[in-house]
Formats: sequence, C-alpha cells, structure tokens
Amino acid sequence: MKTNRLVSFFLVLFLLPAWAWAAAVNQCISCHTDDQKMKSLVKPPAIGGEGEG
Amino acid sequence: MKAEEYYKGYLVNPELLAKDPHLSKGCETCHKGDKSGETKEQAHEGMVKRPSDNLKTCGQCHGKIAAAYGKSLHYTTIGQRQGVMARFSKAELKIFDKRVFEQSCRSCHASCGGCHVKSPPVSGISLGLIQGHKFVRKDEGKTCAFCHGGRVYPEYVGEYGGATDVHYQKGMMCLDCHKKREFHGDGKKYLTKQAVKDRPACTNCHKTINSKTLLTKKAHSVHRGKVSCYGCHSGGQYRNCYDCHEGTGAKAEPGFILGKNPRNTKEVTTLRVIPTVRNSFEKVGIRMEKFDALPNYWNSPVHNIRKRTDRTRSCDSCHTDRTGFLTWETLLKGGAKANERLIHTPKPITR
Repeated sequence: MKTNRLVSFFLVLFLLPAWAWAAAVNQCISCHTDDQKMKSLVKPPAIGGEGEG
Repeated sequence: MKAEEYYKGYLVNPELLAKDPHLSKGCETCHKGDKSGETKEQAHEGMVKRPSDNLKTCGQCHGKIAAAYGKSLHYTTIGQRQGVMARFSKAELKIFDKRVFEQSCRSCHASCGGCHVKSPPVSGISLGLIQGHKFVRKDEGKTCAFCHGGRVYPEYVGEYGGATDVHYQKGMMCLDCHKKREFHGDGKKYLTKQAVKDRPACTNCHKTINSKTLLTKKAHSVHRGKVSCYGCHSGGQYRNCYDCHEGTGAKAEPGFILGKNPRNTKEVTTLRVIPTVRNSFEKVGIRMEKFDALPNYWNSPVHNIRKRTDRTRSCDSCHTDRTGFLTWETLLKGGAKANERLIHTPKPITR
C-alpha cells in the first residue's frame, strides 16, 4: 500500500510538468485564440472577379 | 466584412474547446500540421486546410451522411459537366475532363466543413470560420450566399436593387425550401439537379391557389402546364452572366427574358443567359465542335418571386406588349443555333 502511494506520488511529480508543458506548447490554440497575434499574422487576400452561382 | 477584420475569420472561440466534442481531440487530429511549431510556417507544415475534403474525416462518426454526401451534386459537381458536355466531341470531352473539370470545376465542390464550419472559398477568398470554429447546423448567409453569391442569393435578398423575393420578405431562408436531404444527398448519384427527387417546387407549399377573383382563378387554370410559376411571378430583372470564360473577365447585366423552356419546349418560363461562349475553352484546345447543340439560355428558377407583377396585373403585358420575350432581334449575337427554338411569340387574346 505504502509502495503504491510512493509510486503514485512520483508519477504525479514527473507527469504533471510533462502534461503542463504539452498543454503550454499547443501553438495552434495559443495563436488562433489570440486576437492581436492573428491580426498580425493574417493578411487579407486581394479581391477580384465575380461570385459564382 | 472590412479588410482589416478579415483575420477574425481565423479566430477560434476558446470557450468551444471545452464544450464542443469535435474539438476535444485536438486540432491536429483533423488538421495535422505541427502543434509545437514555433512559427506560423513551422506549425502549418503538412497542415490540412479543409480536413472534410476527405469524407472519411467526418465519416468516422457521421458515416451514413458522409457516404450519401459523397454521391450528392454539391460534392461531385457533376452537374457542371453535364451542362456543357453535349457541346464536345468525344476527344474534346476527354480534354475537358482532364484539364477543366478535374482542375477547375471540381475545386468548387463543397466539403462538410464548407457548410458547417468555415465559409467556403471562392476564388481563394473565404469569409472564414462561421462562428469561431463552432460546428453549426446552418448559416446560409455565410455559406450558401458565398458560393451562390453571383446571382441567386443577391437576387433573393434584393441586393441588385430589384424586387426582394417575397419569401425572403416573409423571413424564409434557403433551407426552408431546399431541404437538408437535398444537400446531404439521398445516396443516389444524380447527374443533374433536375433529376433530383424531392427538389423544391412551388407546388410543395402552394398546393391550391386560393384565388379570390375570377380572373386569378382563370389565369392559373389557363396557363397551367404552359407557363411556369416564374414566368408570371418573377419580380422583374435578374442577373445574367456573359462571356465568363473568355479570359477577359465576366460581364454581368440585369435582364428579364421569357421564352420556351429548353428542357420542355411546351412551357414558357424565365430564361437566364449562361456564360459559355464559343471560345470558352479555347485555351485548353477545345473548339466545341458541337457548340450549337445547346442553347445559351437555360430555364432558370429565378429567386425574385412576387405575388403581383406586371404580368399578373395585366394580360396585355405578354399578349399585346410581349414584354421580355426573346425575339429574333434580341437573340445573343454569335450565340448557339439552339437558341432559336426558344423564341415564343404569345398570341393576342380575342376578347
């Protein structure tokens, strides 16, 4: 029982930072939810021609 | 949308990340790419812009819909091929399939996401995410309107300055007439929209004409089977496109044209000029050996319906003045020989 607790403690100790790191580096979400960053990265294309249909 | 707000179409609503099950597996599940890439270029390396172009993506959960959709006209776009193929010789059709249909027409197909997630691209431009990457049921103004924004949608909402369609005025939108099954498909592979079972028809709702006056009753009974509903109830001018494929740019002009329905010459209806001209496919080596086989006008279910029009008010509009009717003088110059059989001259009424 004591061993199990010890294993769990170390698992949490090692895995928590790994999970936090993985979450922190999801660049898709960090950029695509940041208004200012998207404003600087997305440029509107040139518009021309007629619509279809 | 203003140019400075274009970027907003790429902003994901963070609240959806926890709420929407579609987003719970992470962006990379559908979009691939490198989620840990530090620059835009690194992150977008190998990214799939439109994951639902591959129907298996949505088909993992929505298998039945995806299987049926794969055969629907919005996905196959085969109607565009059918509409023009009679103008080609066998050899020309082979060139068309390889160099035009696959490379151009097919690029216009709608993916699942094109209606449910992100406004579809037209000429490389999209209005972006419909509601911050929410998977919406419908949003006609951002989806239907974008692909069908050249003629049908602006006509319907009165953006051309013409008559607003009475159905729009009453609060109806595209999906009130065009049912979900029409888009998702019924599992059959149709070649043209005319062949689609259960497609919209005025008579689906207007089963009986509740005419109060004798004249209206008579007008409906006399013209039934001879004149389409649009023929009398089109509110006036609608958009016609000319010379779209000549390489010099399209020319759109308002017009109102009445003539024989090329698909049923016993009926008079509203005709719309189609943009194919003799040299439309010259650049890819297609001369259209049988150009004259098809007309340059097709019967069009115009989307500017009004209860009262010049034609419903007075028989003289057609039977005396012949307003809008295609004549030898108004036929397109250099048009197909097949246009000639669409001319109809209404007979005067003997009172």
